[in-house]
Amino acid sequence: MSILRSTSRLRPSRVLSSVRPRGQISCESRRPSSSTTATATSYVTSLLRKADYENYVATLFTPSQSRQAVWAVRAFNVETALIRENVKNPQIGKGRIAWWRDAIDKVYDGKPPIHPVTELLARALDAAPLSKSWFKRILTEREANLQDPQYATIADLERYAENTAAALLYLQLEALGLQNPQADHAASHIGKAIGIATILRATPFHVEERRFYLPSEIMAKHALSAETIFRSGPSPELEEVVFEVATAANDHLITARSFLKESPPQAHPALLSAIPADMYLQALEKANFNIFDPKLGKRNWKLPFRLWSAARTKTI
Amino acid sequence: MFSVSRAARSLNVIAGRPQVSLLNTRLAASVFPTGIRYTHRSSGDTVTVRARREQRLNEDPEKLMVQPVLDRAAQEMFFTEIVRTMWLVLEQMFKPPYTIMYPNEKGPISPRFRGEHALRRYPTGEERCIACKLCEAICPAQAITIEAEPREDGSRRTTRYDIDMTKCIYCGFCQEACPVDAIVESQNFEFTTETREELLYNKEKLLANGDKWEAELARNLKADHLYR
Repeated sequence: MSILRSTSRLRPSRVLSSVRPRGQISCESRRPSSSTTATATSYVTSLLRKADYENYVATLFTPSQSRQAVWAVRAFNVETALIRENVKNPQIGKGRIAWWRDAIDKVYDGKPPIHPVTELLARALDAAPLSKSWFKRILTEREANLQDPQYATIADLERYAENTAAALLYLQLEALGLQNPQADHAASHIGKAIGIATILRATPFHVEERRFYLPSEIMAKHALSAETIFRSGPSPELEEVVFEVATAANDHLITARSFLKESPPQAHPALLSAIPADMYLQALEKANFNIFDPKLGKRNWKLPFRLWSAARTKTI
Repeated sequence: MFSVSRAARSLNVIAGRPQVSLLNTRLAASVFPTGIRYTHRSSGDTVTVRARREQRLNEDPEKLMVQPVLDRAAQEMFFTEIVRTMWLVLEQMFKPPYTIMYPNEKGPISPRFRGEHALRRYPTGEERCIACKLCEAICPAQAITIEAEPREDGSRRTTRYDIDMTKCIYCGFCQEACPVDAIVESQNFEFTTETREELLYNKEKLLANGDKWEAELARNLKADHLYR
């Protein structure tokens, strides 16, 4: 008890001393200073390392001048993607999405709200022009996703992936200072592959919470209902469904590889996010398309080497 | 032991339902006039079971009523049950007790437990709350009161953040609505007070709670993988 009391008495002094530099900023300049950027960066990197480790490792291969902008974009994704998992009620989630929509507007007005991610985004906008429309598109798709719709077809799933994962890749390409149609084309296919792989990967988690997203058209083809999966888990029919969905993701990766030669080499660091998705799909194939295989939940120790060799040879 | 009790149970079935058995005998006699032919030890289908029952009923009923002594003992004294209970007691003697010494020892609490509220800070010491008032709007018990004004550096901050803990229903909507993870419900459930006024929490109290529980709060918010 005495220890607790003494620490709580100690804390305010530490807090006051660290708050003071912020007070020195004048009323006119709302741009974050370099010291706050450093703390915001450390906050964002720790967030990424914890919530999105694989993509964090992939972003380490971006050149240092655009790394912060890429981190800001990825952290924006983490913050908005976690909303559905943090709320029990879509109405509350909509409130949070609305806050992020306002926050993006304010970032583009040069008055970012005090949040590490928005501060870093404002800083990134100084360095490279990021399109506001991609942020808005991600938020709109996430808001639609709060209602937990089961996708009807593979095309619906691809549209979702295009509006979230691919939009993120476009932003990352812009952060790298690139406006190249070939790179965008590759990013579109890679984004779709990543989005589908993420949904597949999250399915065991979603099933625990009685949510299911894999296309109903394919489910109907194999005479499988979501309720059967909630009750009895893995089955040969589910493996067939997963195989079809995973094939769609893999096709996008193969198409993206064919575009890779035409896209400029500077774009490659943004496209490295394809590697974790590719590794997941490979592991899924090894597990005979059983998404409930416990091996799939483990972190792959080969990931850094695979990323390094891909960055070196400019392949995915 | 078990074979003995099983034999006793089958005897019980026959002895306990004489009416039905007699009826069965008559039925069986009409349907299977040569019931003995179907008796087969290895297969367990209905035909052989009926045939076996019929065979047993054809025996002298007086003979059936005389049970072996051990069978009766097993049936009436629940002998196996007594031994099994004694084994359970013996097992428990070597296990640690379930009782915990409450104020000194505490039981495990789920990371989703919703207890006393706290306002968190960033690692720099800057408070997280940006006075967006989403928690105030979502609170079904209207327990939260916020007043805000821009600070001298232009950032919007709360001047007042009160929670009436006597109104709060601990639904957790405030922490779900918060876009910056500022207001959270901590694991602490031991905040009884002597007066009602002490349960009207202000911003200082909430920030102090946040400082005290930060390690636990940060751990509870962790997510290992993005699911979207």
